[in-house]
Amino acid sequence: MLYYESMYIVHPALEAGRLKDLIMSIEKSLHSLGGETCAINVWGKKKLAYPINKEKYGMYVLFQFKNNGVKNKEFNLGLEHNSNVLAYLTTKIEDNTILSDLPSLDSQLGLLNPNASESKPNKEVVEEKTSEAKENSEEKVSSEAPEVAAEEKNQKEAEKVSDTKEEK
Amino acid sequence: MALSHQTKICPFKENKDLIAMINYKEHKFLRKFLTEQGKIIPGYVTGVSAKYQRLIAKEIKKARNIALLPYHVDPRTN
Repeated sequence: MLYYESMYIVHPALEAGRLKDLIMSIEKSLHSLGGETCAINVWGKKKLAYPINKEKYGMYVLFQFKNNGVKNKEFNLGLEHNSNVLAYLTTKIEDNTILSDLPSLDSQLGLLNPNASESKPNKEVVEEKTSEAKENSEEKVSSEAPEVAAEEKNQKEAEKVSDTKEEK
Repeated sequence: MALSHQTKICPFKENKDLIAMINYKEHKFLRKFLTEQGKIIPGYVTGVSAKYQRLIAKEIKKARNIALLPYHVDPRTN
């Protein structure tokens, strides 16, 4: 059994809950092959150096594990066939580079979007308000538009006339 | 009299702590060894010894695979 780590990029549209399911399913696939989990580190959403599958951003996850090297091919095949994983890289590591003192997966995912459950409803309310306000303002503009425009035109013309007079 | 000329010293031989930084996860550090176009700068320019230049090139190629570093950057797009 040797130490390996695999870094994979998850589709950015996945929310924290679904992301956790995906991470757990990948972990399960490793356990079914006889591997052991050492550490999971969620790097978070980062900009990709080049677009992959037309995605400019991706969620980076670092997964360190202990496994029989022969089984890594099957593990990589699982990542390859997973449509939510944009890219992956499995490398061999030394045991002294294994990350320790990492917070739990829930807190790592929770830290990415703090107060997600609290802020969401507020945002929706604000969006509704803004949309209503926009509609109202648009109506006002559409109703008042011809009159206002006409007034402005008259004012501008008057100013122009006055300017030209002063220049003369 | 012999002409005195500046000789470049490998940064990894001066500071041994930097050797641990040669890793594809330290993509911000590896960016020092790339040009603006994303090409790997040769060792005779940066002064890195052949031993560490080999390691750097390998790790940069790993980082490119996982989209932490670019394969190429088109200067016209910026």
